[in-house]
Amino acid sequence: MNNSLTIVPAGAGSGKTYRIETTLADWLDKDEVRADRILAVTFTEASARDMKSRIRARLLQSGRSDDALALGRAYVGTIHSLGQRLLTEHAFAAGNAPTSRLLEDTERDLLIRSQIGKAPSLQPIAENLSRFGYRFTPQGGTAEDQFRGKILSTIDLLRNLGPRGSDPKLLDDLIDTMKVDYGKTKKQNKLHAALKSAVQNMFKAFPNDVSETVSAKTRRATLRADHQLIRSAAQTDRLQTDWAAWQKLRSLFISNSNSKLPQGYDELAEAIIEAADGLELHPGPLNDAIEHITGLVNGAQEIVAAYDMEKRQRGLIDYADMIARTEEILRETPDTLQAVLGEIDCVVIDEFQDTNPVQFALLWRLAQHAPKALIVGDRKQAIMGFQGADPRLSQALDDQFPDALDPLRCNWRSVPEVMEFVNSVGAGLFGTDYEALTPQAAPGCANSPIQYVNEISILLSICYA
Amino acid sequence: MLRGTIVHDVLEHCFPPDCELPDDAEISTAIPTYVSNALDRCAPWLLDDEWALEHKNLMVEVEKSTLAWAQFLRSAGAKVIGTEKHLQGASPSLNIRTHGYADCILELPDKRILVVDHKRSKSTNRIKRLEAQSDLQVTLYKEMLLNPQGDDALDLRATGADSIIAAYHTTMDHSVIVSHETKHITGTQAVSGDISSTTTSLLSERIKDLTVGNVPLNSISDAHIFEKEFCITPYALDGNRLVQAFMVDDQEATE
Repeated sequence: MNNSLTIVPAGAGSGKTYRIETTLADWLDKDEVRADRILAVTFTEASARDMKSRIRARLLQSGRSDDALALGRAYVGTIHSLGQRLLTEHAFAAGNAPTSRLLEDTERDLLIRSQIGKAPSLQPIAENLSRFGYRFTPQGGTAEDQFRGKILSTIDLLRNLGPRGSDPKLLDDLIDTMKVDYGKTKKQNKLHAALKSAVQNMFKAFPNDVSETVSAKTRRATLRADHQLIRSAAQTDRLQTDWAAWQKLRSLFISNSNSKLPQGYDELAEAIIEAADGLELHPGPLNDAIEHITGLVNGAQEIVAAYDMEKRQRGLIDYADMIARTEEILRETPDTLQAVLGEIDCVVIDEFQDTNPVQFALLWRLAQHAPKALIVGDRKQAIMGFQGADPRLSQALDDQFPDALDPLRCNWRSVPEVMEFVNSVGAGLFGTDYEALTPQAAPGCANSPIQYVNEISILLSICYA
Repeated sequence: MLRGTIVHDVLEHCFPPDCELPDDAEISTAIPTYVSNALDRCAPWLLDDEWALEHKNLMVEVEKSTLAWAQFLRSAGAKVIGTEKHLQGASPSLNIRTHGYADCILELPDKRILVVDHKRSKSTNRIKRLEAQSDLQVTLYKEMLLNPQGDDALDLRATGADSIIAAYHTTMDHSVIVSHETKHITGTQAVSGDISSTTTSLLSERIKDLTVGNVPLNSISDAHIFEKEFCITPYALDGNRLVQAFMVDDQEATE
């Protein structure tokens, strides 16, 4: 662990960019950090350029033109550009071609697509997509497209987990969690036998649909659909696996004040409904979910292994590799880690709340060993959950290093009236986790109502993300 | 479209005319070859690794549909007497000559005839369309069988109108919908009453217009009317820029 770790929780408008710049300037002024030995990770290339130009301007103002020039050699950029640079500089240590070509998204999809048909663990799902809930929808496209999308997102998720993503125990943990969440079940044979017998009784008594006995068109269509369902449930083995059919059988149409069905029909339908209600305690859907997650996780792991091999052979990398492979090199080859650390005096990380596990592992490996580290973020502004970002990582870091915390408590953007409102809403949304910010702007200065909307919409979008 | 073509192709090859019905095991064994042969002809690219998922699913769908069709044929005691059968004859309802290909012609044990069109869809919309009396296809097939023209035309006049039944087989939900029946056919859903008067009268009007040199253009609201009143999805109007370019607004249409 380095001797000067600073973690800066920084709410919206609290001046985090200013804090990063002044800290860096201070280190440079005191000659604790050399301009070309800065490693700073920002969320976008634009903010990296912005940070660089402000530091450069500051250095030029103090007449340090050599340092301003040296800043060009520093690592200041997004985590992906950092990864790409490290992968290139340490290509031989990684066993990569020094001029790896970045895969286009379409090329990546094509490579993965060709592996899907070969991954043995995926085949039980691929052979019965509808059973696992993949159906054509106008928004989602074909069942195959949706399944492919699910595989790709599982692959991304696993790769974002770093080494844990290929851990065979991961699946056991997932299954254990699913079992606990699903709750109590009954023996499936009894439940199945009861429903099968109920539908067979109905089909025997009413082999043809009874839709002609009612006049309303919609009722007739419902009865026709009910009959079709009952017929196939009685004649085929679909009740063994078709939980949607069970669910539909729970709501069969029976007589009401407007529509009277033939004598005996309602009793048989009610018996079916009662038996189909057993679905709530049926272990089948849980077993299917387990089969589904098993196929997806194992299949994704098989594809990743084959896809990685293919990329290595062809000298290709993709965006995820820029992080995952860099993290792997720093973890597996201490010499490389030391070589990187030997070139830097400090690590600065902005928007830390938006890191996923593998990004966290990579950045933390550098930050914990660098002479100085400044980590800035705001868990309330975590917006990259869809890419696997997990603000709990940032929380864990705060918990582990409480003495390193140096939160920004002021707000420089909004007038007291706005901040009073925002602080009240924030406390309501986040409870004790919310740290109220003290407004620094003068009351009644140029703030429009749109500011209220902006501040609140930020809080709400964060809260419900 | 492609999937429908493959399903048709396999049903045709799996159940040839005047042959014993294969059992389920024979069907399951034969399906991969039939599907591969059909793909070789229609979409060889689907045999590549990149399309393995589509290929596999197509195979599963075709097998399910084929097994269900076999089960229907067995339960109804139906015998296949023709597949992809070319029909030609007169259409009294439209007063024109028509020709076309019937997907399948079945003979029931009581000698009634089913003229079947396979559709890769579900039965719900098809039933709605028949109930809205907006069918055309199998109605015309039936008319051609009863009014054959040409030397090689299939002639079922002797069977009689009441014994020729128009049917749709919807392969997505394994249903067989029949137009009318004097006696229930096991495994079918019957739609009572006329199934085609709306479309035949509309089409007759159009044909009359054409014969005197008038070309009525579609109006903007036609798509809505086709969909809501006739239960026909207006693909030709919605998806065709050329047709859309010649559509007139409703007021112009009435003038």
